[in-house]
This record gives sequence, structure tokens and C-alpha cells, in this order.
Amino acid sequence: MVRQADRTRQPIIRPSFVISGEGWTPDECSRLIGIAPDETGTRGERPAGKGMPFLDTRWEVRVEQRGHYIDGPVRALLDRVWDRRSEIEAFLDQTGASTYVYCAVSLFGEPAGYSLSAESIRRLAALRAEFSLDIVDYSES
Amino acid sequence: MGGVGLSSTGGGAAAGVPVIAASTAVIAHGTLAASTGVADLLSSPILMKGSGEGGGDAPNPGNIKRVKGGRLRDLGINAHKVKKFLGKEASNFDIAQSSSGGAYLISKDKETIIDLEAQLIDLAD
Repeated sequence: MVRQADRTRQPIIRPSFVISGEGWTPDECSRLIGIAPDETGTRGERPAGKGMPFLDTRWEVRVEQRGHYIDGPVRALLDRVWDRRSEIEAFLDQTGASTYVYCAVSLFGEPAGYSLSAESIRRLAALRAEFSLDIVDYSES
Repeated sequence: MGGVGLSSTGGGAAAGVPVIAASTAVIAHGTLAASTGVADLLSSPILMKGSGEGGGDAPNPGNIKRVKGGRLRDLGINAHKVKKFLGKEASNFDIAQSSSGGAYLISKDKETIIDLEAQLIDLAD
């Protein structure tokens, strides 16, 4: 059993599947794909009216889990969109949009494992998704 | 609030978000899409390292140091959130601080520097 004190030292793994581009709206993307996004952004607009403007129009679903290996959260993320891959592919062909998975890893004292399973890689490729891993070690001093 | 710490020792927050390119190659060849995208969106000056060309008060990349995660934690700054607007380019940037206290995003190769200034306050946890 994992004690609460230990759990707070576990990495937080937060992968996002993003459809990115311009010349379309996130609502159009949601309608055509048939999945409700967790977050959207429109190129040039500032999130909540402040901060940096988005560089692209984006439609995003994400997963957040504590754990030591990135493959589980990435698989859970890909599971959210896998059944709609045909619709996603059609949207990409129609709009020229691209996809990527951005995996944010926050470290708090315990290490993370950064390997992906063959099945995850196969699904990433089928979804035409680039993979980007971003690690921030908050325990680093 | 905690997130103001990075720029609180600087000479005051600028309203704009300057993008500073350390070399023309980055912009001309578009090898880093984020740099041109930011400049395009914000109509920000592109500042060239050392030449003074459009430079104004461009910091020297050599004087900008990456902020380690422990300090980010102490300041309550969520680095992933701050970098989120960069999209898939976010993993190519770190949060950094100049000797005068200004806050920046700096690419791994130090070729591109984005001045965060007041925006950091908005995006900090």
C-alpha cells in the first residue's frame, strides 16, 4: 500500500492529445470527431483573456495520473480517441490540421520511466501524432 | 502572489512580450516554428543578439540562466502551464531568469528567447 506521504513524491504524468492548425474552429472539430474536448484554443486569442496568445488553433483531450511510467497515462489518453480515429483522420485530411501528443511530466523526488510500448507507438502513428516529452523536476535545486 | 517572484527584482514589467532571436537563422529558416509564430501574433520586435539591430534592451543570452525546478516550486510556478501556449514546441523551452530579474522562456539551444514579464504573473499557479 502506498502511503500518502510517498504518493505526493510520485511523478504527475499529464499527456494531451492535440489537434492543431488554423482555418477551422474547435467547435467544428468537436462536431466532426464526436468527442467533447477538455480544452480548446483559437490562434491569436489569449486563454481567459490574458497571458500568452495561442500560437495555433487547438483541440485537446488529456489525462492526468500519478505514477512512475508514462506508458499507462499515454495509453489511457489514446484510448479516449482511438475509437474515433477514422473521424480524426477525415478531419485532418479535410482541414490540413496536424496532431501531437504532448506529455508533461512533473517530478517531485521519485523518478519516472520514459518508455512507450509498441502498441502506444503504433496508435500514435495511426493517429499521425508527433510525440513530445516535457520533464520538469521540481525537486531539482 | 508567489508567481511574481521571478520578475519582482527587475525594473518593472513591460506591457509587450518581446521575442528575442539570438540568430537570424532561427527566423529565416523557420526551424523553430514557435519563434516566428509568437512574433507574428504579437507584432513583437525581433531582437538580434549583440548587434543592437532592433535590439533595444535585448538581454544577452549568456546572462540568462535556466530556473531550476526547485525554485519554480518555491515560487509556485507551473512550468508546463506557463509554456502551454507554445503547443508542441513547449518541450523545447525552459523558464529562465536574467541577472536583472526578468523572466523569459529560452529554447534549449538558447537561440530563441521570449520575454515573459507580466504574463508570467497571469500564468503562474
